[in-house]
Amino acid sequence: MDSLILTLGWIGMYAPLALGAIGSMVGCARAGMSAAGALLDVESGYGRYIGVAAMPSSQSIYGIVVTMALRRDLTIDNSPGIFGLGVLVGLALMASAFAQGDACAASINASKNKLEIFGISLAPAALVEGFAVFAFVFALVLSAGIPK
Amino acid sequence: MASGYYTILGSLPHLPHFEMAERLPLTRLRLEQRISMLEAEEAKQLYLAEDLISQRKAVASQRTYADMAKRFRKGMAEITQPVLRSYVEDRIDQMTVLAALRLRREGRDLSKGGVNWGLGRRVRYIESHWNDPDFRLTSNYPWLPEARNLLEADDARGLDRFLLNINWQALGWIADREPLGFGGVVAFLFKWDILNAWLVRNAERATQKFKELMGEVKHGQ
Repeated sequence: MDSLILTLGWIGMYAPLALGAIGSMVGCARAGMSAAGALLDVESGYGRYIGVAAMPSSQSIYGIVVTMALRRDLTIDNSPGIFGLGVLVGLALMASAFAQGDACAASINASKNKLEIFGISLAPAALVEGFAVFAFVFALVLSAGIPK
Repeated sequence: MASGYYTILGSLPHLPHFEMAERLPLTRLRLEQRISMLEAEEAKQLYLAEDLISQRKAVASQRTYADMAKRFRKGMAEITQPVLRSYVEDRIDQMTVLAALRLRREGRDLSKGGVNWGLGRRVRYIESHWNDPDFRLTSNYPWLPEARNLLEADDARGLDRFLLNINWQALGWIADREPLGFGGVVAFLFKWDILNAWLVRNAERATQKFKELMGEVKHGQ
């Protein structure tokens, strides 16, 4: 039973990074494919679209930071907390990266037809980023309460 | 390949409402090049559906009812994508309802059945409600009373415009449900068809407008 609890602790410690990275991969791929499609339809401003496609990469960075914050010697006392916190923040980061990829793809589709809305069309993607930041910050705050 | 929709939809231009458009924003050749990014089976189903209900194809090219029914059955057996199948079925039903309205206006009575006249899910239902002004289908097709009024007023152009608007709206809903999926591609292709059909029908008016513009330019010089 002890080894199971410790295993969960290891899973929780690495989950933010792994799940955040999975989310970023999918999110960047979705937005990137949309950007690649847009390149076929526009004559200029290619860098702008590729730049937008990179937005969902931030979830990986948040995952790395949370994993580092959770890093400690695992014990029976702290493993359940690390598992709960790590897995939940990892899922939140992954879902936000998926959603941000779709929001970026929609932004690219909209702004290539109407360049003047480029900035405002990114607002939904920025909102999604905001929720990822909430999950990230409160994971850091709560991780301080997990026994060392 | 599901994620490939992102690339295709990203490569397609915005389609203005058909009544506002002055030209096609994408040629047929370019459209087919973009659709070739889909999996072969999906592209095949799209073209098959287009062949069944397209605004571009002349229905008159199908000579007999048996030919049409055979082509319809064969096509529907191969169209398996739910969103595409649903749209094709709705369009076939729309054509059947309109055919029924026209036949009734000609004085035909199909309430007894036994006549081959329509395709799709509503044929028998329409026959059994032949004497109802809207075949008791207004809850399914809220556009039916307005279409009947236009038909009875002999306003062919108004009816055409009205139905194209209804179909355009339906395609908008499909695109809204799946903005980055197969539904988005389906909506674009059939909206393109509507736009193309509208522009072709308005070619005469466009020629007149072009002459007017040329006249203005000449007088301006």
